[in-house]
Amino acid sequence: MSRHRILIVDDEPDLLASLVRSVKAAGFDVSTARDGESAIIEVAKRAPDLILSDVIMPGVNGFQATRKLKENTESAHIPVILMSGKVGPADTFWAEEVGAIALLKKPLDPRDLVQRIEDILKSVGATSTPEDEGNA
Amino acid sequence: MLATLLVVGRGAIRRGLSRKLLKQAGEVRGLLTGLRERNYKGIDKLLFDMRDSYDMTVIEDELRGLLGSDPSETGDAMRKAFDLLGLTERYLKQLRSANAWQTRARSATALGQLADTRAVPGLLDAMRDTREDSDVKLAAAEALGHIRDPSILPELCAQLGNVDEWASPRLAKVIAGFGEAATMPLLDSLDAAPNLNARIWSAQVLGKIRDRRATNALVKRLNDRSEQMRISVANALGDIADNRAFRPLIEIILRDPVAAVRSQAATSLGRIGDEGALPLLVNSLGDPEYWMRFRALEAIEALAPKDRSPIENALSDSNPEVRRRAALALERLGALEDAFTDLVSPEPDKELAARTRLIAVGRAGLSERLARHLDDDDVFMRERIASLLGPVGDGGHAIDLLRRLDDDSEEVRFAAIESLGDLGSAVACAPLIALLSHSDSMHRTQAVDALVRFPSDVLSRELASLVTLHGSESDEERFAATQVLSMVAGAKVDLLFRGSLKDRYIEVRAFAAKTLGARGVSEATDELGLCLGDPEDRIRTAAAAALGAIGGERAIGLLLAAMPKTSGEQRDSICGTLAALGYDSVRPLLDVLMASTDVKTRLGAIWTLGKTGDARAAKLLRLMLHEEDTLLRSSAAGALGKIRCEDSLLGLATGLEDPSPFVRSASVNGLGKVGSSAQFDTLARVLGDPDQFVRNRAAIAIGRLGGDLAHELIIDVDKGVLDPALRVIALGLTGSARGIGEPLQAMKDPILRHQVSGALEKEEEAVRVVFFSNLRPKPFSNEEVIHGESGLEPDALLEQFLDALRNNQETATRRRAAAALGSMRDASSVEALALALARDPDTEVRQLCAQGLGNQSDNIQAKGALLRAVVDPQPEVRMLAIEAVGGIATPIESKAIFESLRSDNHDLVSISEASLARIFSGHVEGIHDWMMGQESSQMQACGLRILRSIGDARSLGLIKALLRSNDPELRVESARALAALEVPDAIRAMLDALGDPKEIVRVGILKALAGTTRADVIQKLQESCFDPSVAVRRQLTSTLATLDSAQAVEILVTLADDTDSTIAGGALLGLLRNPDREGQHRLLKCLPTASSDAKKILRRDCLDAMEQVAEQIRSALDADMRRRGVEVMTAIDPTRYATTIAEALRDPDATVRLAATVGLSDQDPERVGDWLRALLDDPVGEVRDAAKRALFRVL
Repeated sequence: MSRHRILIVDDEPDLLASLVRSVKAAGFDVSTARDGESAIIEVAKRAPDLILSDVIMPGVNGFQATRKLKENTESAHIPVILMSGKVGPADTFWAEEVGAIALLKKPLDPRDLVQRIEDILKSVGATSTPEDEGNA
Repeated sequence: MLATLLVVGRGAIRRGLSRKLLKQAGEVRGLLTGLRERNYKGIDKLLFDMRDSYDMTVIEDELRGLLGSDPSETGDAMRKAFDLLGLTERYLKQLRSANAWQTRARSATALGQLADTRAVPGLLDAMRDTREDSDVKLAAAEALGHIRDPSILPELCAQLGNVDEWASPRLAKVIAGFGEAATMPLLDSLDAAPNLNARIWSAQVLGKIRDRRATNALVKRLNDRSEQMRISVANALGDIADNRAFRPLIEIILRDPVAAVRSQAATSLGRIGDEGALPLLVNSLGDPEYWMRFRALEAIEALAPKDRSPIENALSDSNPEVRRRAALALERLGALEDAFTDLVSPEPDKELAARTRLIAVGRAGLSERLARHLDDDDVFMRERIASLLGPVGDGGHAIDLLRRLDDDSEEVRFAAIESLGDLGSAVACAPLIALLSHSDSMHRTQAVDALVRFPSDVLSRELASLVTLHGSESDEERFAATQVLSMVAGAKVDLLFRGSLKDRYIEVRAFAAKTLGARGVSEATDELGLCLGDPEDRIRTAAAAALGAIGGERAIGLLLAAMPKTSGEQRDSICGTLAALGYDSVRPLLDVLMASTDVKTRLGAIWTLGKTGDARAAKLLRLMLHEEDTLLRSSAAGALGKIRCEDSLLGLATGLEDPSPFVRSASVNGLGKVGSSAQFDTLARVLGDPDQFVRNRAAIAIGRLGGDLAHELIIDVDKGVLDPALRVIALGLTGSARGIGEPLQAMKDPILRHQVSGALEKEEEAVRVVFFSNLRPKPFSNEEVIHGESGLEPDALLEQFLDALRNNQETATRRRAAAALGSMRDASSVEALALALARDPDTEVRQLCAQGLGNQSDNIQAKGALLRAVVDPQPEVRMLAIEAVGGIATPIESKAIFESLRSDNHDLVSISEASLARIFSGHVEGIHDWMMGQESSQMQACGLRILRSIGDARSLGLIKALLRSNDPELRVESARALAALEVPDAIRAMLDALGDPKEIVRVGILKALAGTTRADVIQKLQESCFDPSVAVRRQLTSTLATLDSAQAVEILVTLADDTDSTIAGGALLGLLRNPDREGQHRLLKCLPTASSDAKKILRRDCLDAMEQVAEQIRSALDADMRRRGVEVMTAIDPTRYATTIAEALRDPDATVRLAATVGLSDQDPERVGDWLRALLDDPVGEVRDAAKRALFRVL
């Protein structure tokens, strides 16, 4: 069984790199995109098991990208975690409105993030986890 | 006449042929003329002599020449002469048998001139003969008319029955020629002719004769089955114009099913000329048949009423003929001249009314009449006529108006331009375009305003000249051309406008942007996008609006991207545009707005959501009330105030708790807009907000929700809590008629008035409209008055209410005025209120006046009016008047109130008694005197009730005497009156009366003794335990229940063993209710041995008492009392009161908890199981054990 693949989307290169490091370190396969539009193209090429995306990005933002992915039957099942520097009740509501599974407040604690990713993958019925892979 | 000429002509020819005969003719004429002076006396002898000397034809011709057209001038001697010569005989024969038509016609004419009745059958026959020559028939008809012998009338009338289109009208004319002599035969025919045709003709001829004797018979025929008959009769009655036909004709208008009959009746009413017909005729202007309306107009015109408004109203009739007829009527009545005079009146109201009237007249088809005044010498007349020809809408007058473009007066020119715009006539297009280059800006503006109303195709024909102007060097000319071009369709013009977006003149750019949006030119999207960065805010706003109107992904994207740089106005425009797309389309757009941390962008989201007005937007807005930025939170509250739904109300209620006063005030405002009376409690709490601004907004919000309750809430707030001006506004907004008084009074203070005016200017227009409307008797929407202080003039406002109360025809308006004036408590309104109280036909108006005057009863005029209203025909009004005068009238003024005691209306009697008690308090002897003068025991009973209310010991003697009255009812009232005196003698007398033989009296006394604390009384009551009457013993239990006495409890215990279960049950209830703490204790002891019926009665009647017990369980300080309450509930009905008993499981006292546990031990386990389980952890072992036992039992 292959490892879970996470698509990380952020327009901030440093932050993107940091996230990639953290997630990879936890045993996930990682792909990246720099904005919403690229993310949609990436998903169309090869669907990840989970998407971790920033909200505020140039062009197609995180909300818009999530809404588009959820409107497409091919990608609607992929859980999307959104990240934003501003997480108020209205933002959380809107994240749910567009179909995201969670809206996390930046900056993120890498351990918390990984834990959250694992929890979500479990809850959506993923068949393997990084730990499983590791144990194997 | 023609036949006569023919005959005379032929004779002349013949005479011409023979000189001899001509000579003879001259001689005969001379001889006959000589006889004329002697009235032809001796003519017979002369003719006899002539026979041998002269030709008979000559003699006949000359004789006929002497016959006049009027048969009355033909003397008997002349007739004899014709007989003598056998001429009459010959004419009679020739009339029907001569071969030549000329001979027959000549005979008919001669017979008519001779007025020989023998000719009637022959003449009638000739008239009816369809093959007869028309000249002969005409001669016969004329002859019949000449004969005019009444004896032929029956025959003539009978002939009316024959249907003959030619003969019948002529015959009718002949009969009419008889005048009143024909009336009776015609009436006979009208009444009895077997033939409908004869009857109809008879009616018509009777009308022509105009003999009033025919009126009654004709009126009867108004109900004839034949509608033709009814029409003829109605017409005839109009001809006769006898007033007696007035009512019957009105009946016809009201009831006849045939419009033609109704309309004829209307016409006839007009001819009768009785103004009393006017209301009905005016009413007939609403008849569904246009013909009826037409006739009604004719009739109204005939009556020439002073009030021409009904005719003016008919100018807007749906039928053009009726409209035109109305216009004609107005013209004939001289109303148009009046209107022309008023049109140039300096009084605006007159001018406006005249203008409206003349426009309607013009539209009805008399525009030519108006246009004549375009050349009037009076410049005002020319200007005003020019201005109304546009609204009249007859394009034919465009030429007339174009002439006025050269008028010396600028006003006339402007009026003509404006009207030309209304008409949109092609002929005016080029001249108006020429004005776009006029040196005067007003002319250019007027021309633009006119041209933009022209049809696009008409303007297209002048496209070349407009394009030329569009390229002009002059900014103003380009702007003018741009505006006009906006009305011309086509891609070429679109291209021009796209170019105009870069024009140097801001007005041109703004207009171009607006127009491109309105025309939906999607090709201009990018150019408009560039305009979003225009240095001028106006252009940015216009571009935003245009992009919104154009729509599409590209345009919307540009708008969203522009959000962070928007001004308030621009954002308003963009958000309005986005919201107009609808909530479903807005949702994906919010992905962009919500993804931003920029305040302006998030404001954009909030504003857009609010502007959608969609309930689904409310949830996100509620959450946005938690934004960190105060501006965002207050905007979210403002947006929620635009959405009427439950989520909004919840959100706004949350906003009231916000730490920022801005958010709280926005929330309060929102509740005022979308809330309902359900929000009163919430808003009332905000009236106590620490911030005065918020409190003021709460008052305004409450006012906006409106109603009497809103008024009460604001009135209750201490004056210093609210800004005085806003308090006044809030009160005015409530619309409570009773609450208008304070704002109206407040306006009298000029400083406050100024403050109110200033505060209103800061409010939304909707608030201003409601406020100004509420401060008037009728709603209004006069923009002019909404701004400034002029609408707040207290005297003017007061005068409006006074006028409404005095004169308004609408009952609702008068009621409102009465309530408002009443609540004003202003002396200046007393007169109007007093007058309305005396005269207004509406009971509620009079009631309100009585209430209002009651507020000023110290005013002598108010008092007088109220005293007069004591005899108002309606008891509701009388009651109010009596109540009001109770505090002010003197005994001497109370006569009418005493009379009210005789009324059958119980409430009226009660109020009168109370009022009299107030008036005679301190003058009790006045009541004594009155009572002693009353024979009726009913009146004496009233007196006793009054004395009871006064409670003056000086009444003791009289009441004691009445206690011995024969009338048991009086004895009861006496006992009750004695109870109120509270003097030992009075109580003694009552106790003595407990031996009264009448049960009703004993019951009454016991009732009156309720609540007494005297031991001797209670002792005495014990004797009543053995009263033979069940009713008395039952009352005894009720009375004892009220006595806080151990002795009373003992008596109740005795009664609990009564053989009558109703009394035993009543005694148990008495024990339960008795205030003495022993009562419940004794009840618990009695209950085990009480009969089941008695217990049933107890359970049935104890509900209110058990509420007291529940309260006792919850809050009595004494644990024994709480426990006693639990035990009582357990003993009476543990199932019913299980919930209350369960509350005691949490009592701090273990004995109470224990009692409650016992109380619940036999109840439904599903219900009480959990409650009891909670006690398993009780700190007191006894309670835990009891709970275990109880659980064991229930499970």
